[in-house]
Amino acid sequence: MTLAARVARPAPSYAPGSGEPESYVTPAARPRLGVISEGALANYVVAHSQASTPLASRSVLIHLVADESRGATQVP
Amino acid sequence: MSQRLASLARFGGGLLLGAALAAAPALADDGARHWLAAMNEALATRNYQGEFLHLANGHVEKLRILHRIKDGRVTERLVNLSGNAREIIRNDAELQCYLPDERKVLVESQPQHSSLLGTLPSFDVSLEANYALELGERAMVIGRPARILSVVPRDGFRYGYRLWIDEENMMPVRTDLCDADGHVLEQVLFTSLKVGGTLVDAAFRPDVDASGFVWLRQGGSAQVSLADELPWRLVQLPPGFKISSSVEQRLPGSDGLVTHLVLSDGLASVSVFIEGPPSPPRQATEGQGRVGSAFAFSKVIAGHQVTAVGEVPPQTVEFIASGVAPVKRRVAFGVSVTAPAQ
Repeated sequence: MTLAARVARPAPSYAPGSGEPESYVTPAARPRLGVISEGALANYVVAHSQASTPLASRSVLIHLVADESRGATQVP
Repeated sequence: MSQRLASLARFGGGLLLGAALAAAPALADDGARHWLAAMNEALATRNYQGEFLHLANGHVEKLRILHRIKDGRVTERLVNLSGNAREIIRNDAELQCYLPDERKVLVESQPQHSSLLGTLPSFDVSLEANYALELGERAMVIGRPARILSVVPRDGFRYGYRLWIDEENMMPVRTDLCDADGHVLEQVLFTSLKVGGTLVDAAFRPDVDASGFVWLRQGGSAQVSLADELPWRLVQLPPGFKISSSVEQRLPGSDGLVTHLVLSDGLASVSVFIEGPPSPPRQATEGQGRVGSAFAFSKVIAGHQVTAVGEVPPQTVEFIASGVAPVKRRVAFGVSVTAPAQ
């Protein structure tokens, strides 16, 4: 590797006293991912309830009917 | 909607726990066997109606259930009495979930060929390896004597249950869902329960006026090959879990057929949905979701959206979803050979 190659990417320079670089390279964008929507969750839950054992079915259907299911939530 | 099982058995039997545990006696002690058998008999043969409190995540909801067995056919209705007027009506043809707050109705058809006993879990040595069944003390529930029966998970991949069985009518009048440490996650507690009597057809009609609602009917599904022939494999599963069925079906909001795998340890169930990449404006999702004590975990694997959903701890759905991998197929000497993806 040549010296030119090694220095082709300049080190960031810093504004005096700020502690921040004057410039930086923006990281490559990652594909944006959404969270599971409430509607999608409800569809999954209904489909799951029909395939699951009685005990599991019981709970998911109650939660679907209960008010709190409106808060089908995303877990951070 | 799926095509398995007579959901009737799942719903009422599930709510009152009997059917799922009915086959367990073989490995339990005589006392537990007696109580399970009696409870199952009551659940399988009697009409009942009652109101119960559902406590979970700091919320208390009051719901009503009606359950009728007539000419061998089961009809059930579950109504939220606490405000949102949501309700579920289920018979041997379909399940209808009325969501007036969203002005829509979710409908799932029931398979014509399924039987009430078709997918009931089989309790055997493998189940005993993951749960302990214990008959507890006598206790009072809504002023009546009951016996406590516990299903205790042996690890953190699944939940357990405690139920209080009425000594007179053998119905489970209280059910607690517990984690592996015994902490109560949710509770179903009957405040009134009438066993027997006649329930007329009108009792199973919805109170909701669904005029103008959007009806979301899940498409038909088809049984697909067993797991060892699927283009997907599960490289890691919690102890005791195995694939119990696989279907391809259409879900509302999905662009194409969705592969739906069902995993079970005999008591707990997890569904894994595998679907192609979403078309805009839908976007791929990654992360956890939650409906009550049921958790979901979704991630993109090999360009497909993989989502695991189940009434299990969050780490279990993440563990299972993360273990989905495509199976590479190669051709050798003109013969298609299936090989695990690297």
